[in-house]
Parts: sequence; structure tokens; C-alpha cells
Amino acid sequence: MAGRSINRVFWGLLIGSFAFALVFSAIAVWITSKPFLADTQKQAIMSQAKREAARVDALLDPSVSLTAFLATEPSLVSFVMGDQARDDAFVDRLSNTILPQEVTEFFVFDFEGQPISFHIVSPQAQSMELAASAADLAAFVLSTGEPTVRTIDSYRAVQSGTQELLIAAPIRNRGFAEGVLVTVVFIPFETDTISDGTSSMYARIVDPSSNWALVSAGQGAINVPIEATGLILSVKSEASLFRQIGQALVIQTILSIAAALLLPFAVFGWLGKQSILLPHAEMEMSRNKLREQQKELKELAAIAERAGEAILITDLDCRIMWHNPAFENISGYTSEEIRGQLPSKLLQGPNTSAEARAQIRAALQAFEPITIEVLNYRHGTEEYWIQLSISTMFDDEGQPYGYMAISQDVSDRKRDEANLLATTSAMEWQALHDELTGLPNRRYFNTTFDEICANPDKTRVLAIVRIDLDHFKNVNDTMGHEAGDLVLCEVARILREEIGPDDVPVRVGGDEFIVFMTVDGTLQKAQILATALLKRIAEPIEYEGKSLRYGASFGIASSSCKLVAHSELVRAADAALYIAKERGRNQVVCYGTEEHQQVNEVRATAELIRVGLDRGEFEPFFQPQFDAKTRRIVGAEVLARWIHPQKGVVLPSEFLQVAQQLSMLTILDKIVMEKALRHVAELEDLGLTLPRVSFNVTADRLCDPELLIAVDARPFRHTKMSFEILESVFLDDQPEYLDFNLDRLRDKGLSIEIDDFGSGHASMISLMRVRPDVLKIDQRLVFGAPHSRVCRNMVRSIIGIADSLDIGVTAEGVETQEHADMMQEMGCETLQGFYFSEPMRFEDLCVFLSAERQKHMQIAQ
Amino acid sequence: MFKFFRSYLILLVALAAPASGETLRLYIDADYSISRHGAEAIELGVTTALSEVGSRAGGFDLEVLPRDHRANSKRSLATMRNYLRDPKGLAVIGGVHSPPYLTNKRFINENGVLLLLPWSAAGPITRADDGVENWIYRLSVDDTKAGPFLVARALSHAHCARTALLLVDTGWGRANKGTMRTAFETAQAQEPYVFMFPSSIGAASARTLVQSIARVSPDCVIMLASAAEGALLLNELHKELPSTKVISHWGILAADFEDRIAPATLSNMDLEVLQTCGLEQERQKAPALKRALDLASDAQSPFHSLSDIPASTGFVHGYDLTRLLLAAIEQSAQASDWAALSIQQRRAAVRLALTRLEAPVDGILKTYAEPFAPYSPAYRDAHEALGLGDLCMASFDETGRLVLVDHSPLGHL
Repeated sequence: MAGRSINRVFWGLLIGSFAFALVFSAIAVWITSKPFLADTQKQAIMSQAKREAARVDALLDPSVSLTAFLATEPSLVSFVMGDQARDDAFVDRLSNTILPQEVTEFFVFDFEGQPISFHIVSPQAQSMELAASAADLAAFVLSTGEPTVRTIDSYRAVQSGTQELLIAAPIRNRGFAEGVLVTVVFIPFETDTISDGTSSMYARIVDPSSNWALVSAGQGAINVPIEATGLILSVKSEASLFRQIGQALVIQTILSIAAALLLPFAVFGWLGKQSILLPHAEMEMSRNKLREQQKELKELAAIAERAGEAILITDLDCRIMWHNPAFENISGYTSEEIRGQLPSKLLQGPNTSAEARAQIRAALQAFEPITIEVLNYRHGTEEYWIQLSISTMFDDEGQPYGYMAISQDVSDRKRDEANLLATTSAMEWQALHDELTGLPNRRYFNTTFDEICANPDKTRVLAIVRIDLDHFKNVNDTMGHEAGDLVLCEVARILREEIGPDDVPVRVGGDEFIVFMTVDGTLQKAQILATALLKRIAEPIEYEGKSLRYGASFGIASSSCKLVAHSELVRAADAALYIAKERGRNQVVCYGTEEHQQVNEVRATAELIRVGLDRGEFEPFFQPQFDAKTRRIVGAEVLARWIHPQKGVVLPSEFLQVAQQLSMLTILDKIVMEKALRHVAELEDLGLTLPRVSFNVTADRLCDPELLIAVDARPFRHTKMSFEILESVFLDDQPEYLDFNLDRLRDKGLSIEIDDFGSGHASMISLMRVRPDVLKIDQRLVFGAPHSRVCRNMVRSIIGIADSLDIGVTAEGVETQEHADMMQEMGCETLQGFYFSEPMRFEDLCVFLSAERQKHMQIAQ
Repeated sequence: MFKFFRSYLILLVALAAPASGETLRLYIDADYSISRHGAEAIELGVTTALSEVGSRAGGFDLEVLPRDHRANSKRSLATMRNYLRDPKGLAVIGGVHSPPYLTNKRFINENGVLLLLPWSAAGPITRADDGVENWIYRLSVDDTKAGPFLVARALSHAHCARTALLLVDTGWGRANKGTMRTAFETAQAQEPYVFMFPSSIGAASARTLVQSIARVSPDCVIMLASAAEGALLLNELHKELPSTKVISHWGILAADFEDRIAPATLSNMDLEVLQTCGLEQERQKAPALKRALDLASDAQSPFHSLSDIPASTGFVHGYDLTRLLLAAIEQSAQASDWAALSIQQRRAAVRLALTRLEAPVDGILKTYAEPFAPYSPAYRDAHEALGLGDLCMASFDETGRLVLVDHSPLGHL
């Protein structure tokens, strides 16, 4: 501070003295030069005015000469005297003459001073403004016969810093003025600008004979004659100019004096700096450095005392020389216990990593810094982790004299890391296992499969045993989900117990399991395993005092990685399982040649069905239904037929099952229904109204929202609609909303019929829930009725049930009159069968209905 | 008896005439500045003729108003306009130059300016355009005849083989260019070299022009020029082509021609100038000329011969033309309503009388019997008082006086 202060004082005094000398010198110069300044200023302006006048004179002179010269042009003389009607020759002369750029236009006047032509040679021309002035001048020149230059007082010119002049020369013939040529010139003024950017001079050309012009030029103006013209240039200077010139003089003087004083003051300043300031500054610097070092040491000590990290300083023998309080807190020792001890003995214990110890030793010996995590013991008992940084301390000569160790407790972080690792493992396990059974899940299976097949040993034989529990839904529905979970866990237990060490048990979802045989998985071994599993699973288990029975179907596929892809092998096992289900469940099916062929046939048929659907080959056939008593037609059942291009008419038994497997039954039903509805509408249009039309529908189709839309959009009004549902529907899992949709259909006036009643073993409870309008007796019962008492009894029973529920009965498969009479006699209301009519095309139906109508009309007559 | 009847008529006219003091004005539209001699000579001729009748005719005092047009057609036009506005302006007597009347001819004829020309020679002046009345009358050389006359003079008399035409670039010069070239064609002579010069030509341009002429080496030069430029050109021709014969229209004599050129130069040059035959009358000591000179003379300026009068052609023609005008006025005044006529009607009446002068009028050059006739395209010389037979050629003698070189009638050429 003192150094800076003395510096400031020294330089302040020096600069102040310098400024003082300058100011007083300037004042002295100002006072001395003031009497001469005004005169100098005036001379400067006069000089400037003369230069401007000379410039204007130089500008005007060519134009004056040109005007005088052109006035002698013979063609112009002839024109003025009337000998030439036009001044074309003069115009040619102008165009061939290089005119001064100041010239803007020419006026020609005759002997009376009347303008007889004018010629514009510059875009700056102002003919309209100047004509009157030019005419005045022409009259003057005609009277004097002398060339004359005259000014024009123009507001525009004053504003724009320019001025227009008229130069007139008499046009003489034999010495007599017979006309006047007036030239207009445009004189720009150069304005003198000074440092503050303002215009300081205002120049104008005035006519000395014009008092007005002189007055308008203003008092105090300096007038300079313009030689060639007889005019004068009047220059008026702004007051600021004089001030500026004075200021410029003073500034120049000050600058000169400043330049003169600069060297002595600079020398004085340099000497003062060398002899006074620099020694003082060096001493001040040493003091400051010492103060800063002391301060730093204090600050470091305070920081170390307050630091959260443990700090330890040892000698080269690693004996503790100093430590901070944090070290005591972390290590659990007191200051007395610590001092002079070796940190390794004090802190490390049996679980401290030997490798870490070795690394620390090596670093100390090499005097290299090291950072490492080490397990320490608090007071010899409690383990804790520290992150330790050791660095060697060197003196000013670079010699090591000790070590400094800084450590912090990282036990919490170590614990968090361990927890995170455990959590991650648990999540990974969950991602690959079924939570309920603990078995690997489908993802685990897929991953394992891919890993095994990624093995170079492609010849490895694998087997997949696909397991699906039979009627597991019933367990869930009747005994609750806990019972279901128990069953699943029991199956998992069986799998774990029965499989070999290389086999992987998998729950792939719901009641589906897989045993993946990864080593030597031949069909025989898989079949043995599956059979054993089937046997175990078929054993009943007890739940809440009740015995639970369920079965399982098994599909087995085996191959090696190089032969089939993962997905193919799984598909094959699925196909085998499906076949097992088809064959009545509770059995084991291996995917062999026969099964493969069966699958291929299904695939081929499926492809044909797809093509047939695309081509619209599925058509509705109509089988009429008759009133049992009157034998009059009361309706028709719509039956799907495949009109194959090669095979002809294909019956549903050949394609319905495949279509159902491929989930194409719904679309097929939809297509056939749409066509049939259109046909029924056509019948109405033909006047052949069918009393009722019935469609076979699946449970899925009944739940299809589009069915309701199609019903609403049916294009006929009189024919009633009914849907026939297989009795077996009620044995299977019913789709959601089935009951709801049946109600909606009933609300829309449709009737519901149970098809093939007597073949599906539906419970009466289910029947009552559906509340059908008609029961259609299975045709096998009708066939057997004439010869089998059981069949007849069954029929009677069904009719009895129907009567008790107030439901109508239709007999299918009526092929003979005996059938018809018997069914009528037993109480059936409606008959359907080959005895009356085979299913027929729409066109045949039209003919049939026409014939029926005619027949009954004849009977009526 | 005749004298008595005549005196009676004059008395009747005097009684019918307006009271003394009413004036009609004769404007003299001439170049009093450049061709001052010509203008003054014309004015002298006019005033001499007027003085014979006491400056009174048709019952009116006649006043002469000289107006200087300085050879400027526009100034001449201004004079015409002033005359037309003047209720006393009866007629305008023209000056030496043709261009003012060539330029303003349509204005003159359309507005009824009664113009009498004692000197201007350009042919088209007295030939009106179709459908326009012709108000211009001339007692002077007619260039339609003078041009061919000068060409004939060059070809037949001087036997020129290579002729240069040196013509002022005005209407006068341009009109003569056509007639002269036609004359050359008619004579089947070599086509002349034509050089035109502006009326305001200076010395330098004159020298350049003559040098151009010298390059074609003509043996004759036919020149149409006013006095000033004629003197310039002759001086230059004398330097460049001293032996070349120069045949000049009389325009050079209108002004101070003799002052601009040395007598020795004139006499040394082979120069001929067109003239009317006044000199012939003088040679024959014609009494009319004698009387006119006597009337024109006064104590300060006694005129013993025409050569005493500068540009004497103007005097002769002015005198004769004024006499014809006076006769026309008197003849018009015989009409009973003469005194009541407007100035326009009087102009028309005098114009009519000019073309139907009932009595011959004695002049210096000759006695004029029906000098003018009604103009028609078929009679294009109707307004010409002089004909080819009135033209002569003159040259300068050692003292600078004009002398006839050939007094045979020009019509014989």
C-alpha cells in the first residue's frame, strides 16, 4: 500500500507539474498572440476567398469564351436574322462541341429580345425558372451590345451550395447586335469544413451593380472580384471559424510546448523511478512475500485442522509426526496413541488386502504418489474402508523428508455398491424366471436355446417337450386362483424332480410348460420323460381337503441346431401338442413323419382356403326347412360351400376344421353371411319371400361387433333371421360378452337356435342361461330313431325338455318320409333334411320357392 | 384643250381631297447600317421624286419614314407589322437586300403590304405562291433574268470554259444558284463549280473559301454578294486568282464597297458589275436624269453625274419607282370615294392602279408605259417594271468610277 501510495504521489506531482507548465505557457502565448490573431484570421479567410474566386473564375472562363465563340457561329447569325427558319446547324455545332460540364443550357433571343429557341445540354437545366432572367439579360445585352455575365438569385441554389449564372453574348451581323446567345452555367461551391464538421464559409457570386445582392450577401462579408466576369465573390465566414482558428493556434502552441517539455520531464521521471521508486518497491515486495507466506501457512494449518479428511504426516520411516483431529475421529485412536506409530500397524488388519499393502509399499519406496482404497480397522476391531492418497514431501532442495497421507472414510459408498450389485442380480433373475414357480421363463429359454446353438458343436441333438395342462381353466374357475397356483407349483416341482441335470424346465406362460433337453435330446428320451411326467401330473393332489384332478397333453420335437431353426423346432413341438389335444388330450405325441405330413396337409389346405377367400369361392347354400304338419316351407339354413375350381363343391367337413385352426372361420362366416343376406334381399325383390333364414355362427363370431353391424344393415325387411350355435360352444371357454351379444341379437328380433343338440353334453344350466328359441336335434339321433329305442327316447326327452322350457324343436337329417312322419308324430315342429331338399344354390332356391308357391296356390285353389 | 381638261381634273381632285395636313406615309425598309449608301441612295431617289410634286399626291401629304433593318429579315418583318398597324401607312419601299423579302414574302402578300422594290433582285420575290395575292412590285434587276444574263455574259462574251459560282448562302443566293445552273445546262456549257458562303463570312473564312476556289482553277467567277463580303472576297480573289475574270451581281455596290477595296485593286481586276442602264442615260445626257440630279442636289451635295451619288442605282430606281407610285396614287384618287377609303382600301386601290396605269410615266431609265400588269402564274413578269433590255455591265475605271463596258442592249446577248 505504501509503495503504491508513494508511486501515486510521485507520478501525480510529476504530471501536475507538467500540466501546470503547459497551461501557463498556453495562457502566455494566448495573451501575446491575441492582437495578431484577428489580422491573421482575416488574411486566412481572404486567402481562401481568393482561391475560391480564382476557382470560380477558372470555371467560368471557358463558358464565357464558348458563349462568345458560339455567338459568332454563322448559322446562328442566319437563324437570328430570319434567313434560316431553324437553327439545326447551330444544334449540330453544339453536339460536335465539347461543352464545359458547368454549362446546362442555351437560350437564343432575336433582335427584339424575344426567345426564339433554347437548348438543354445538362439534366440540371432549369429552363422554366431561368427564362425570365435570361430575357432580362438579353434585353440588356441588346442595348449595350456587350457580353455580360449575370447572377441569378435562386432559393434553390442558395440551399444547395450551388449558383447559376447567365453568360450572354450578342449575336452580331457586321458588328451590329441582331440577337443574343445566353448560356446558363451551374457553379458548385466548395465549402470549407473544419474539425467540428460544420460549414464555416458561405460563398456567393453577386453583381456589384446590384445593391440588393450586396445587402443579401450580408454585413461583414469579404468580397473578391472574379476577373473574367465583372462579378464579385462574396464570402461570409461564420463566427465559429475565427474561434476555431484561435483555438487551433492555441492547441498547436500547447502541443509544441508539450513536445518541448516532454523530454526533460521524462528524464526526471526516469531518474526518480530508478533512485526512489524501485528500491522502495523491492523492499515492499519482500515484506509482502513474507506476509503472504505466513498467511498461507496459517490458512493451511487451519484448513487441515478443520478438514473432514484424515491427514497424516510421517517421516521417511513412516513414523507419524503429525495428524489432524479428523484422523483421530476416523481411526478411533487418541493423539497419544497415534504419535510415533507406524500407520500400517495401527490401522490395517487381517482382511486388509495384501495386494493393496504391496502397492502402498512400492509407492513409498519409489517416492511416487498413490491413491488406493484400503480396508482399515477402527481401534483394531471395526472394519471401515478409506480412500487413501499418499504423496512424498520434498524440501526446497528436492530431497524427500516425509510422507503425507490424506484419507477419507468411503465405507458408505462401498456398502451402496454392494447393495446395488445384489439388487441388480435379483432383477436379472426376475427377468429370466417365473415368479410363481421359480422356473426359467420364455426369455430364459430363448436365450439358452440361442446360446447352445451358437456353440460350434452343431451336431448336438436337442428336444423340446411342450406341456399344456388339460382343463386347467376349470380348476381356476371352480376352485379359485390359489388352487390354480398350487397346481402350477406342483407341476413345476414334478418337472424339477423328473428331469435330468442338463434339462431345463420352463414355464412359458399360463398352464404351458417346456422341458428343454439340451444334451442328447432324442425323441425316445423325450418320450420317456414325457410319459413319466404325464403319469406324475395325472396323480390327484389335495387342496383344502378336496382332491384336484387334471391332466396334461405333451408335444415333443427333436432335432439338431444345424437342421432346424429355433422357431421351427418350437413350432413342431406346438404342432405335436395340438395333435395331442386333437386326439383327446392327456397323451404324448411326438412330431414324426406322420405328424409332419398332417401339418403339411393342413398348411396346403390353409393356403387353398386363403386363395379361395381372395377369389370369393365360398358361397352360401340354402337348405329349406318345413313345417312338420303343413309341410310348407318355413325357412332355410344357410350352409357354407366351397366352389373349388378343380374339386367342385367342397363340403364344410373338408375345410371347416382347418379354417378354425387358422382363425379364418370368422372371416369365412362373414363372407358367406354377406352373400346370403344379399340373396335374401334379392328374393324379396323377386316376391319370393323366405319366412326365415338361419346362419351357423361360432362363439367368436357372435362376439364380433361387425356381426351386429351386418345384422342392422341387412337389406331386407320381411325375412326373419336366426343364428345357430353349436351345443359344444358351451363346453368350451366362452368368450367374453357372449351373453351380452346374444341379448342384443334377441333385442333386434333374431332368434337363437342350438345346433346339433344332443351331441355336446351341454349342461342344462348353460342352456337355461342362453335361453334359446329352438333346439335342433342332432341328425344322428334322427337317423337312429326308426330303429333304436334309445334314439327315440332321447328325441322324446329333448322334445320334453323343449316343451318344459317353451322352446321350439327342429329335426335335422330327415331323409325319409318315415323320419318325417315319426318326428312329426313325436312333436317336432320343423323338419329339415334330404327328404325335403338338399342344400341348394341361390338360383335353385329361387326355382324351388317358385315351385312351392305355385304348388300351394294350386292346392288353395 | 387637253391642258385645260387636265387642270380641271386636278382641281376636282384637289377639291375632293381631304384638307391639307392629312398624311400618307411611305416606309423605306432598308439597311441604313451596313448598306447605308444603297439605302440613302434609294431614299434620295424617293424624296427627289416626291419633291417634284411637293410631297403631295392624291390629296394627301406624303411623308417618308426611313426604317433600318440592318439586313435582318426579322427587323424588316417588324417594320412591315408597324406599317400594317399604321393607319397612314400607304406603301413600303424596300432596300437593297433580297433576303428580308424572300423570307417574309408570304407574310407580305397575305397581309397586303404594298411593297415596292427599287433594288432587291431575287427572282422569287415578285412571284407569288399559288392562290396568294401578289403585293410586291419591282423596278430593278430581276435575277431570273440577271442570273442567265450573267451566265451568258461569262459564256458568250468572256468565253469562260471553267466557271465558279460564288454565291451568298441566303435565299437570294440559293435562288440564283438554280437559275444559273439551268442557264449553264441550257447553254450546254460545262457544269459550274458552286461555292456558297454565309452572309456573315469573315476574312479568314473568305481566304479559305477563295483558296478552295483556286484549287479548281476557274477562268471566270460569277459572284453574288453584298458589299461587305463582296469586298472581302474580291480582295482575296485578287490575291489568289488575279487574272480570273469576275462577273458580279450588283449587290456589291449597295454599301461602302469602294471604301473596302482599293481603287487599284478594282481597276487591276478583270471585274464587271451588273447594272441597269442609268449610265447609258447619262451618256446620252437624258433630260430626265438631269432634272432629277438637279432636284436631288443641294448646296452641300451638288450632283453633277450619277457617279457623284454613292450607289447611284438606288437613286435611279428609287426615283423612277416613286414616280410610278405617285402616278398610281393620283390615278386612284380619281375615284369618287378615294377620300373615304380606309388605309387598307387605299393600299388596294393604289395597287390596282399600279397594274393599270393609264398614262405613261417618264423616268430616268425610260418612259414606263404599263410597267406592271395583274399577276398570274402565266405572266410571271407582271410585277417587273424592267426587263432584260434594261440591263448593262459596268466596270471600275482608275478613279474607281463605274463606267459602262458594253452599252449594247443586253437583250442582244
